[in-house]
Amino acid sequence: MKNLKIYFILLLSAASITACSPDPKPDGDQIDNYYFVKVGNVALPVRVCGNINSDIAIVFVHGGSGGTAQLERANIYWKEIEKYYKVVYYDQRASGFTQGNPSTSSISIEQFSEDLDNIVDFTKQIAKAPKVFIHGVSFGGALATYYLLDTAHQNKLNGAILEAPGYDFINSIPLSVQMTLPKIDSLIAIGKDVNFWNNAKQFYAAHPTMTVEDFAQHEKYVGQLGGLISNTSNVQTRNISLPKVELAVVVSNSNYASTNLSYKGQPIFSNFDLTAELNKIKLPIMLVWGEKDGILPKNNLAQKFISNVSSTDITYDPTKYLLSAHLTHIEEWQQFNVDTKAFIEAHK
Amino acid sequence: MKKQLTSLLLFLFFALITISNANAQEDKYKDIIKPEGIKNKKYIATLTGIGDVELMKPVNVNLGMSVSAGFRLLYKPKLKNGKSTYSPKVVEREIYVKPTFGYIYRKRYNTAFFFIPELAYRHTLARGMFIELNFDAGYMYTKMNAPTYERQDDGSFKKVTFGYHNAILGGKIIGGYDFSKKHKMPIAINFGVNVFYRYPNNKKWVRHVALEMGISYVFRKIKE
Repeated sequence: MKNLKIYFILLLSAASITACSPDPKPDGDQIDNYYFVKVGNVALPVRVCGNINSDIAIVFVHGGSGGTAQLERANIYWKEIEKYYKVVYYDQRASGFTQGNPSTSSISIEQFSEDLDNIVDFTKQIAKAPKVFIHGVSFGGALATYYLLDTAHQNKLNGAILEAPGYDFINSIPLSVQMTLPKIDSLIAIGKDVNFWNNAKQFYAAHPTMTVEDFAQHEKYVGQLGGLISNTSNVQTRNISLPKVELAVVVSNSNYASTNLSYKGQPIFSNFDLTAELNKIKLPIMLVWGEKDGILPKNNLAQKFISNVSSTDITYDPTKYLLSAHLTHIEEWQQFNVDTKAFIEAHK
Repeated sequence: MKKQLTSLLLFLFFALITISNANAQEDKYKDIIKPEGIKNKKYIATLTGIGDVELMKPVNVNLGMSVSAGFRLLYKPKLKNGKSTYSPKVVEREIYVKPTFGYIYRKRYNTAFFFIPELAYRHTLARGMFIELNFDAGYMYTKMNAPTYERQDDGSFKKVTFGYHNAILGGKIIGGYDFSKKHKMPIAINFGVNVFYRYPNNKKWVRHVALEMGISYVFRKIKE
C-alpha cells in the first residue's frame, strides 16, 4: 500500500507540473504572450512577441489560404524586427493552428477581413500598441488589400507592407502559367526529367481553367521550378517554441480553407479581382515583389497595383529583390529588414 | 544393512507410486473450497496517466490523466485444472462499465476535459495477467489554453471563457497484471494504446493516438 501511495503521488505531481509549467521567460525587453481572440464561434490564436516597450506593432497576415503565422516566426527575418517592434502572429479562421467548426459560408474574404479587423483592434487595446502596420504575404496580401478597401480600416493603421499580394486571382493564374511553360520547355530541351515535364505540359493543356485542386498541382510545379523560393541559400531559420497543436487539425484546416474560400459568395479562384477597387486605398504602402515570383508574377501585377492605388505614399523599387521569388522576406531578409524599418520609422 | 537399505528404497518407491496415483474424490469438498475469483463481487478504481502522441518530428507528447471506476456487468469464469483439484485455476472473463473522467493538456492550445462511460471486456488469466478491450463513446470539452478575448459591441475587449463541445469515439487495448488474482494484493497495473476521434473540427473527425499507463485498486468481495 505504501508503494501505491507513492505511485499515486508521483502521477499527480507529474500531471500538476505539466499542467502549470510556464513558458520560459523571454530575454530582456522582449515579450512572448499567447492569446485567443474569439470571433463568433472561432478562437483565433494570437501570439504577441517583440519589444515590450514599443508602441508599434506589425500584424502579420499569413498566406495560404490555410497557412499559419505560428510557424512563420521561425524565419530569421522576424528576429530583427522583434528587436524593435511588437509583432502579432495570428492564424486566420480554418487555418494553421485555429480550432473550431466554422461554417463553410464563413470561409470568405469578407469574414476573414472582419477577423483581421478584430485582430487590429486587439493589437491596439490588449497588446498595447496604438500604432499598427499590417504585413500581408501572398494570399495574406490579398486579404490585407481587401481589408484596406474600407476607409475605416485604413484609419486604424499607420501603413501596410504588401508582399506579392494576390489581389487579382483571375488574371494572375494565367500569368503564372505563361511564366511556367517556357521554363518547362527549357528543361525538356536540355533533356532533364523529360517524361515528368511532358506530363506537366499535358496537365496544363488539360486544365486551361484551374480548380483549387488544379492550382495545388500547379503550385507544386512552380515550386519545383524555383518560383516559390529561389534564393534558397540565404534562407535562415531559428528555433521557436510552438503551441502543442493537434497535427490532424493543421492538415484539416489547410484543406478546408483552400477548398471553401469564397468572395462575394463565389469560389475565389474564378471571382477575385480587386483591381477596380484599388483606388480606395490611400494609406502609405510598402510594396515588395520578388523578381522571380512564379506564382504571382511581378511583371504586370506589381505595376498594375501601383497604377491603381490612390495612395500618394508608396514605397516600391522594382530594381530590388532580384534574387527572390514569392517569399521575399525569407529569401532576401536582410534587405527586407532594412526596408521595413525605414518604412515604419517614416510612418510611425 | 544392505537388506535394510533395499527395504527402505522399496518402501519409498511404492509410497511415491501410491501418492502419485491417489485421486481426490471430485466434488467432495466443493462446498468448502472457494477458489478466489469464482464467486465474488469486483470493482476497480483506476488512475491512468495519458500521453497523447503527435507523430511528427519531433514527436510531441501531451500529458493528461484520467480516473475511472469499473463496475462489473457480466462475469463468466472458466475453471481450469490446476496441479490439484483442490486448487483449480480460474480464468476471469468479465464485462465492465467504466465511467471515466480525465483531461489532456496541450500547452497554448487547449485542455480537453472528457467523460467516457467506457464499455470494457477483460480477460484475466489464472496467473493474473490480463488483456482488456474498451469501446469508448463520450463527451469532450476543449477549453482554450490561453487568455481569450472577445470584442464587444462598444469596441472594447472582454476576457471570456471559451471552448468547444465535442463527441468522442474510440477504443483501446490494454494489457496488465492483476496482483489481486494471485498475490492477494489489491492492485493492478496496466499499459495500453488508445485511439480516439473527436468531432467536430471543420465538420471532420480529428484522430488521436494516446499511450496509457495506469494503476488500479481492485475491490474483491466474496458473495454470501
